[in-house]
Amino acid sequence: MFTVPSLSDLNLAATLPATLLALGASVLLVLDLFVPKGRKALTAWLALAVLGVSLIVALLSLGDVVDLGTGEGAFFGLYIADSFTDAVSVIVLVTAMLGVAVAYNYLERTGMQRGEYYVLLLFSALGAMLMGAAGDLVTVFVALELLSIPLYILSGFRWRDEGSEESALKYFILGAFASGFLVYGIALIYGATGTTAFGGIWAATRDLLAADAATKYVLLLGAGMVLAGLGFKVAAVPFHMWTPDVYQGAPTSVVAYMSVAAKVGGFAALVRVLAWGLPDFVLSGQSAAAWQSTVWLIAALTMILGNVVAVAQNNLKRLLAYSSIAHAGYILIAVAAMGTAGVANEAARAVVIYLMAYAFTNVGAFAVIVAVERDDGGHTDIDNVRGLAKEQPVLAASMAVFMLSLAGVPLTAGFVGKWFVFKAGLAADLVPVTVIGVLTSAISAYYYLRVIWFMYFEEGEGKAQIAWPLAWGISVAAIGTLILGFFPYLLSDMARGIALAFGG
Amino acid sequence: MNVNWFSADYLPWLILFFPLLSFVIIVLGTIRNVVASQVVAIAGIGISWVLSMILFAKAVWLADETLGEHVYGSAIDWLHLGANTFRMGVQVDPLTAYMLLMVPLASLLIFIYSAGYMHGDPHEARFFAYLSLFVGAMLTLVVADNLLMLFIGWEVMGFCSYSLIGFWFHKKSAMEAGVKAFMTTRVADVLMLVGIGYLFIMTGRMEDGPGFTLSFQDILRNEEMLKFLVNAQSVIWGTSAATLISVLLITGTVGKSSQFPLHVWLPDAMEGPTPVSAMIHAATMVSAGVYMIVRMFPLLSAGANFHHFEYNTAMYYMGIVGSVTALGAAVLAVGQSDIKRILAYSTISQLGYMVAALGIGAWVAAAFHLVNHAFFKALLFMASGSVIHAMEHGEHHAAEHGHPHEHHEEPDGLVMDYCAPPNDVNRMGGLLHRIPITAITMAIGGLSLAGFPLVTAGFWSKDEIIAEAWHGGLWNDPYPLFVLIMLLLGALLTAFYTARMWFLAFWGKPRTPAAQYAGPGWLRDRWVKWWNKQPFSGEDKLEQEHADPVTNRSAMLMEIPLMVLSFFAITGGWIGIHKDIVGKNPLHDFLAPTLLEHPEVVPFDFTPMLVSMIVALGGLGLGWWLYGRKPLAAGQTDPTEAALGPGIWKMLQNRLYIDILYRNYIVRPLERAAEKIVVEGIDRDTIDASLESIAEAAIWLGEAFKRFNTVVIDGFVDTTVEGIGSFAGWFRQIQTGRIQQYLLFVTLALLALGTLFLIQVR
Repeated sequence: MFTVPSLSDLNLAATLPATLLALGASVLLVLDLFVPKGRKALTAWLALAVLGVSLIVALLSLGDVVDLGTGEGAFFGLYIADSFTDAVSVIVLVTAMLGVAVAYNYLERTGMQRGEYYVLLLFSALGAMLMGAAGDLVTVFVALELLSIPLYILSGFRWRDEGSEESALKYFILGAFASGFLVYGIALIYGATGTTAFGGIWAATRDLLAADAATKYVLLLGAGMVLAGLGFKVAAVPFHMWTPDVYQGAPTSVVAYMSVAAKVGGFAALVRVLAWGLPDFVLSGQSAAAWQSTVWLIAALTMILGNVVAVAQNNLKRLLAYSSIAHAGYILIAVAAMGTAGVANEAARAVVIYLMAYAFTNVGAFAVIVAVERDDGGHTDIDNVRGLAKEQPVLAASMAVFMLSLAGVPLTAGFVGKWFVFKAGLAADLVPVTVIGVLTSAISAYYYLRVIWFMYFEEGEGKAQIAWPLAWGISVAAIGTLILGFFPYLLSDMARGIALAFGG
Repeated sequence: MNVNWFSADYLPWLILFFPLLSFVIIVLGTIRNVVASQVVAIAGIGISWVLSMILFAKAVWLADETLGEHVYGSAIDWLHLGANTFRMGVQVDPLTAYMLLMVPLASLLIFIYSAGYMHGDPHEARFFAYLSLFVGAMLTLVVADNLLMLFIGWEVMGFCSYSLIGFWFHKKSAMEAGVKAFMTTRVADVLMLVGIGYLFIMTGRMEDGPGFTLSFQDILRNEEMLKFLVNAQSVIWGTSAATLISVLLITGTVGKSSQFPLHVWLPDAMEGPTPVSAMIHAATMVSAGVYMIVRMFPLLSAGANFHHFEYNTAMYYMGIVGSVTALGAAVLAVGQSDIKRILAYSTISQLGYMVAALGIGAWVAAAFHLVNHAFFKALLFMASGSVIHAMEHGEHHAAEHGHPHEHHEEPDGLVMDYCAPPNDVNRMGGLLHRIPITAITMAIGGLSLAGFPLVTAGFWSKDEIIAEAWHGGLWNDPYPLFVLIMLLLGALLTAFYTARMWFLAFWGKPRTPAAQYAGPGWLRDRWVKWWNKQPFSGEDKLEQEHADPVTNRSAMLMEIPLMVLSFFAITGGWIGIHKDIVGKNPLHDFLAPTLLEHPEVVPFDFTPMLVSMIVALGGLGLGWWLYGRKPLAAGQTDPTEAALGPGIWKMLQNRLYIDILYRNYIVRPLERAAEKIVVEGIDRDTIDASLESIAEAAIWLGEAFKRFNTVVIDGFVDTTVEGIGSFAGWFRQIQTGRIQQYLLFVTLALLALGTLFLIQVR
């Protein structure tokens, strides 16, 4: 007999950061109607305020300053509130705040200043947060759609421009395709285990394996489908093909936010599904989870393809698109490492650390492109940063910091991320794929340093337009990148509380 | 966290922070504004100096005997490594406090001097940026509480020395000198890094120990740890871990402090602007090398009982390298005519004294001489810069007064026996009356270097080293006796070449028009007035000369630091006089608690003191006999050259051919090997070739996809496009057909993944 749950059963307090964001976004959607056209700065400020409040709550919860019911489920297990949730929330909210700072002036000068932008951004941030909090495959799916649909719209935000329109449509079609895979995978997993909750899946997996039932193949297929569906979101090879086209066509401020947010959401969900639901899915005669070999194969392909193809790029947005593919590959090493018993927690921490480092660096790098870009959306080639160091020394120095961080040079956040990811890979005995990671990051130095070379050693006019919100965004990103690089302790401390796996 | 930044525990962070901040501000902000850059740089080091003085005063007045056992310091967690946490921090023990007395003060004076010396250089702001970074790195090294942080400062200094020596990079010789300095010290740095890494591993192996660590407190003040390292076998058969680590670390110093056989870079380092030479030779770089082995001395001497004249391998290594360097460099200094090169060899020789002092266990004496030397050598270098400045000025004025401008061909690149005209002591003479302040202060610095008895700082510290060697040598142990003889001979030559340099430059009559019109220095008008009143001036009356205010200002900026430093070059030594003479040796009492085993004072002996007095006065007297009694006239051959004969003189000028040996038998073959093996063999034939084949494979793959595209996809599109109707037409227009290709590709990939799964399940 179905009973209406009382509000107190929902454990709403535990979902406070997400709930605040959801409420704020909804209110802002209505409020924006009353903000006159020329004064959309108000909407941007309000969006920042909503994100800021949510970020403060998430940080307090992450630092165990307040206890929101951490460790307990909310909404009957659909929502998990633990350190991982908090860490993912913090990363997403920081990204979104930087995203707002980067966008405001860009929208103004390219004539796209409309309030929906900020509302959509808030909703997609909510989606990414919920993916980290998912305790159930249904939550994963709903959150994925909540993350993706605003991003489709945002990609086409410059709708008078054919490129932007094309990018939105491509992203939408391929994204819908991927969602199809995901839903199909969820259905198969449900078919095999009779539940969509991760706890239930985990328990059912043990029984399945103990009984050696043939349904384990169904489960395997389901896991593969889910992997493919989420692989789209994080731009892993062979599901990466949308990335360069979409990044190039979409407005740059959107890409700055999207490139990180979609990745954070996708990886958070992967960690939840694989390390929470299926860690013990070990077929007989094997020592690691069944999905591990596939994941590391994908990781190796992703790193190789992303880094090698990036070498040949001349458009900065395309270059960073391939770079973002390559970085998905590095994180996948840690995801693969979660398949080895006993390493899961360390690997999940590595994922979070990498994403935090990546958030500052990548948003910052795109923000620099925003500054260099012209009002018509052109001027984003590598040639256009020639001589930037002479005209805009601080901007060029920040870009150099971001490039060095992406390349993983010590004393930048990127190095710390790579360090922990490779360490997790080695701890899980995934030596070949870790070696590929090290080698391909050596290759990556070529195209990152090429950008620095163009800025510092080539002559050119080096024009850029920097308004103060953008300047703040870039400074915060650059300082964050450096501080996290100088004090790796901050990152490892942030991830310290994460303990995921049931079995591990 | 409640941090009181002005407590002695946190103050060191601020001391190293300000110069680094100046560097950042200049590079990012004021690089185009020379005056602002000067102000920022001098303010940075100035604040740092004030804070250092506060800290030094705290260490001296507030600390009791236990500073050493309990150091001031603080650290942050830097990196979690498995079960260990690597902490980065700062500490202040007596040795650090003593260094903080010297480094910021000397640096501050060098900065002020630079503002005068570099006046008008187009890249002056960049110069101050590098100087600030240089000092910041040195201060990091001095206050570091672990070897890794020390090494970071060490390496940053390596970079700074490279970029400052090659500051005038358009000169090929400067560029080559920068590369030479960098590469030579790198060789040693790599070995040192291996030593640090090995030490790190070994500390982790100790049972019940502190775990993996590089902290000075954990290693140097931990008897168990030292005992463990002495007893542990190293990877090389027959040596203990302590020995191997010590030898590697000392090798780092041999490079950094320019000891034989890696001394070749320092004489060429004078290709940089003179304040840089002062910086490298006194406050930073070479001092860092000696500081490191002074700091690590408990580890280096572990297992040796040097109070009873039992030494270990590391100490023999230091003693022999140090004393050979001390004498060898002094011999070379005699044969130089470039004023800066004389001083460069003198630095190498004096550093040899310090290293040799550690080799016989004279720890306090080594630290004492390190600081004294820094003061008088900074003084001498800056004075030589003032001389060169005056000589360059003289060249221009000589031309105005109708003397034809002599044309000098600058060599292309580094040449052993080339001496730039303004640096050549043979072309000077009589500068006493042109730049009197410089002449007097340089005389004070020179007397300190030569060890003029009882008054100067150099005498007391050098005497302490010699006394300790004497003390050991009397026991008829050949090793300390060898060190003693080498050091005494070195001291004799030191006094001699110092006297030679001073008399050649300042005494007698000007030997060239450039010297005649050199300068004029600050306060010259007063000097002339005073001189003309003296009865001994006789017929040599001087003429007043009008100096323009800009020149006068820069001369003043350059000469005031000289006066400050000459105060320290004298009094710096008075704090360390043997306790049997003045009743108390404050320096020894202050420094001793740094070591776990407090160093003993050797009993006072009048004989070695008398010997070192005789040696110093003898050397100075010989110099006066040859150069002061009858000043060298223009065109006359150097009396030393006449005495030695042209063969030996040429050999000295060519630095005993060691540099040429390196160039012909190490550098050139390496270059050739690099060309043949690395560039052609590995890079071109292996890496490039394999990259090309990958590229070809990619192109081939692309072709294959294209074929696939035309056959399969186009076929697919052709058959379905009609059914999809007008939507597809619109759809294809913006998609250009590529999205189908994507989707197809994904489907195929999924099939491949599925197959992989199946194979795995089987």
